[in-house]
Amino acid sequence: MGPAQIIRYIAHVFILLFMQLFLFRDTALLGYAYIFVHIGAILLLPTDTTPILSMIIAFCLGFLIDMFYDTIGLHAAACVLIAFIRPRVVGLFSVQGELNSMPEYNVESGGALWFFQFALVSSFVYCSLLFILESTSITIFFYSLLKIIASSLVTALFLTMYSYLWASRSKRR
Amino acid sequence: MINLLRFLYDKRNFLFFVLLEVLCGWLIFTFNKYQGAFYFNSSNAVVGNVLSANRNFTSYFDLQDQNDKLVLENVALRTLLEQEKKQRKIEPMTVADSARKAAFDFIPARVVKNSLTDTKNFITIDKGSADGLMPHMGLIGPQGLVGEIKYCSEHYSTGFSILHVKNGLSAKLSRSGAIGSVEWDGVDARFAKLNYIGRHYFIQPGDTVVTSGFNAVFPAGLPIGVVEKVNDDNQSFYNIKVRLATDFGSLDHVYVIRSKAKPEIDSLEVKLDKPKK
Repeated sequence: MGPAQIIRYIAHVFILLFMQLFLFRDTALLGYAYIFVHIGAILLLPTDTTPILSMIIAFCLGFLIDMFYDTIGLHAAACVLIAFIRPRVVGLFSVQGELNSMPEYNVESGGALWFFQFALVSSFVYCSLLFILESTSITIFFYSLLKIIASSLVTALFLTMYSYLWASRSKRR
Repeated sequence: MINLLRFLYDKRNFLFFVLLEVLCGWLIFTFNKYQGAFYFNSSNAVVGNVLSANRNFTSYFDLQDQNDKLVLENVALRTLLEQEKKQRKIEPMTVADSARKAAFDFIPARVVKNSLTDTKNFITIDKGSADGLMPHMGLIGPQGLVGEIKYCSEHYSTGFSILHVKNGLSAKLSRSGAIGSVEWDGVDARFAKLNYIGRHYFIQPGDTVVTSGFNAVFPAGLPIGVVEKVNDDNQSFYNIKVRLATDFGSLDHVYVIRSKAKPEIDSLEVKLDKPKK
């Protein structure tokens, strides 16, 4: 992990957190689709980060988000979970390049479709845990299910777009 | 022993994962139950400042809308004042009775954070204990009831809004006088449910729902909402859907209700709860 990559990652964290807390904090498209772009800060962690360090970073991120949402522990739990399964999820889909040689799992290194699938599975796991923990009764189960599917689709789309913008930026140089 | 240590070392990622998740679970179960008793929420000074900076910026976008609402509220209050004056003229007798004094006063505040999207929504305002706020004070907006304060820091306070699935509120149908409880089901921020209204009452869409005044947090007769739909599915209680008076999506100005009678009522109720010797 070189200094350039660390700076790049810090930029990811700031941009994604800013978007999440100030633009998308209370956004619910059509009343169902919530956007959780801050999980991008976990997906885009440098690939050579040790699992324990990435879980610690995920916990801190989730805890910060929780302070703004007044849901202590909820986002932190979901963030730690996707940080834990990240190395397993990247291998699920066919990828253009070599997983081990990527500096960062993004559109540039693995292709837009692959990154979308990776982001979709991660955000699906994230939203499932979040909305199931949050829902209080079985009567709103189908409503929660709808929220999970819509939110993970929108979040994955948004993260792919975000990563695509970074990719096109570095191509221009 | 060496093997055991090696096993633990091999599984260190998984064990660390389990440890963190247990920590999160503990946080969820400890702190979400007792919302009032901890520091890491949106009324803490740092988060509060960030949120109010954000609110300062975004409030310019709906300035016109907020002004219109405040003007409407002023008009309503002026009409009420004139009505009151007329009644005083007819009945000029002055009674020196402490019960006639205003039992509630109001502290204006601005919303710095308000969510609609969770099943347990909280609202954060920019007044705190330094302004005389205390937990369990009522919150109302220009259009109607908003919620109840749960936690105060020095300059910010956090409270439940009605949009909190665990927060029931004593309510009354103003036409029939039936007493029930307004609860939110966690689905749509515009509607809540009115429970425990017996089927012997005649209810129809359009009836107004107001506070009952039973809990000394809110004065009686504050608007909560309007009955939208009544379902009579042969149970002992009606299934009533209420359209909430407050538009939580565009809430900006709120008033904190300080009840002067509340300490007195509370101390009476504490006496009742104490077991007899």
